[in-house]
Amino acid sequence: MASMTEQQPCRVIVVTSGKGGVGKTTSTANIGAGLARMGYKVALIDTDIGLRNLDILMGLENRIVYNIVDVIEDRCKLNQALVKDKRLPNLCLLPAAQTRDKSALDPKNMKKVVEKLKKDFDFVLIDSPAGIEGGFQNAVAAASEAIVVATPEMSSVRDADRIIGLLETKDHIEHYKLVLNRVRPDMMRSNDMMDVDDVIEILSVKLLGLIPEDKDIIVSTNRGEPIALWEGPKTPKATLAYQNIAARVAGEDVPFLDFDIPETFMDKVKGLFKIGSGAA
Amino acid sequence: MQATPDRELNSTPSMGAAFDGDPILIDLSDTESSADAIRHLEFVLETTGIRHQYVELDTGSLLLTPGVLSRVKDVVRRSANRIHTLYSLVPQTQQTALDEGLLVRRQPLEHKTGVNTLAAVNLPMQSTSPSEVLPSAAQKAAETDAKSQAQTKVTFKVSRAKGEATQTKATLTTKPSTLAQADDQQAHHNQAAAQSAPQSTQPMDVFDLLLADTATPCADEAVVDELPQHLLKHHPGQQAVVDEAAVTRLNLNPDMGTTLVKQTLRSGQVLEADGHVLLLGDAHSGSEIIARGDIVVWGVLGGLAHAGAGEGPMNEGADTQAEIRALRIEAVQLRIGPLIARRPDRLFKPDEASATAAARGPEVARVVNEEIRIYRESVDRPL
Repeated sequence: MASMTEQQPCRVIVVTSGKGGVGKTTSTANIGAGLARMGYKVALIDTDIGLRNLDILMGLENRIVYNIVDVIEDRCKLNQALVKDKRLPNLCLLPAAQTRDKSALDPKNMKKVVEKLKKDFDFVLIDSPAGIEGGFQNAVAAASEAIVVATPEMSSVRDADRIIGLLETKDHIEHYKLVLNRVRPDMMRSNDMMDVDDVIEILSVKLLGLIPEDKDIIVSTNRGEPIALWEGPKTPKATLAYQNIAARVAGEDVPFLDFDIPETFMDKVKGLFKIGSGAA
Repeated sequence: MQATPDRELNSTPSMGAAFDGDPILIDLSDTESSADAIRHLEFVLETTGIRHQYVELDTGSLLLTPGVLSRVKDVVRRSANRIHTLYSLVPQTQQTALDEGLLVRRQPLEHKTGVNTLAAVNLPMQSTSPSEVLPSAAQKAAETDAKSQAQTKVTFKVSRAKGEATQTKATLTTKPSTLAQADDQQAHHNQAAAQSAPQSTQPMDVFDLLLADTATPCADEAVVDELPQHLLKHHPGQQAVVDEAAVTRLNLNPDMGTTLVKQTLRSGQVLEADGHVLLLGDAHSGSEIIARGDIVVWGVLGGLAHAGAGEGPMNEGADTQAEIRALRIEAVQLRIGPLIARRPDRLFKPDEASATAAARGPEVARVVNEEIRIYRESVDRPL
């Protein structure tokens, strides 16, 4: 574990997308878990008031006693509301309130909360709700960096473009990068899906990483075990993908994964056949 | 004990034809041997032509071996009927029948109990709506006039103690409408009994008495009956609806009223009451029920429940005596007074859960030795 010896300033990163269901919450949980796995102190904030999910993905739902709205409305202290992860002691979750709505937050008190968290953590990751209204504005308010999540679909790319436009108007956002989720190399090869390069060209944005489409992600979200923390001989590609993204966020230079490399001998045989049939 | 309460039998949907109406008692106690009893049973079922009915068999002091009992069951099944209860005075027979999963009692009640007790016994079911009893009895009498031909035939051996027998059945099936089987005079008698009953007796006592006598699985029913009764004690009759606007706060008078809510409590909805809460419906994960008093959920409790909640951030006046009851407790978190218990991280897989759920009774969470424990209501043993 690479523990932080010298005092680095805390980085506050918002994870956003505009469109719903593209993987904001999954990415927040896994990038956060990936960073915590490397030894950083990480706090995750769920700002999706009324539709909180991050706690479920982290498997921490049953540990929530207070939430961010309780903190803001002074019903508890900040560290009372922070839920410590059951696997990593240096990972914490500040959950959203389930029984309130977005109006319970505003950018000002959001900043106040994050300012307090900065003292104790290396990274603060803010999970933004879908949309570009109040909830998004709250989530972005306290951040200085952004991760935009998109999938290789027109609708998602369009919404990501809109979000990037909004992020560019915010002076406090120093830089933003793209995570392209649910990538299917086979479909890209056959031109059934937008190519990674296409998406990057359309959005003219720096790529932070690719996440392959993987059914294990569904398993991980249902189990409340972030896939970035999976271990064992047969870890899914998404595990490595998220760990790499976390490393890049931390400033390491990690090459992009090549999802095209066939995994097994049988895949290789199939690959040969594909080439063969293509040539014929 | 495998025997099921009749209510459950009636509601089993997979039975094809509807088994409706009250059980018909066939008296085999005067037969000389088990072979004779089977012949007699076949004869009665054939001649009367009853179908899709529950029958009660009084086997008196006959000894039925497992083989004979399965033949008896066959006979009843072939006539498209179903055995409801088997009466037997013989311990071996009782055990055999229990092993076969039948509801077993010692004898139809008229043999041993006085008329007064029997009239009172009808109370627990009737006291809730005494006004309904009379019309339905009369109506049913008219309705079943034609049918009563057949029924008289069936009960011909019982006719010597007819009035009492029919009353007995009313007790066992929890259906006052059985009164209709009696003739006019008897019906009048029963009406009088039903009318005079409400002011005269304490229903629960009588029920207990019966339980002691018959040792049948009515215990559950007694508990179920008791539940609302117990709540009624301090029940000013509030009914509330949790609306879409998420939070419903019901500030009732401070002396512990009960709030009755009939709906599914969904994620994000909060039901908060100053007194007790009775929710008829499930409480989904993500919902919250907060009550100063007890919480009773007639459904699956999946969200957060806080009983005995105190006031303000300091939880002042929190009550650890409060209890949380539900048909099934799968709550994300249970809070009683100042204590919090959370659901285990590893849950059953859904199919495992439903398999065990079938075997479960209602559950209650209460504070024992400074910690929240969940008990199965009927067994009272920690899970």
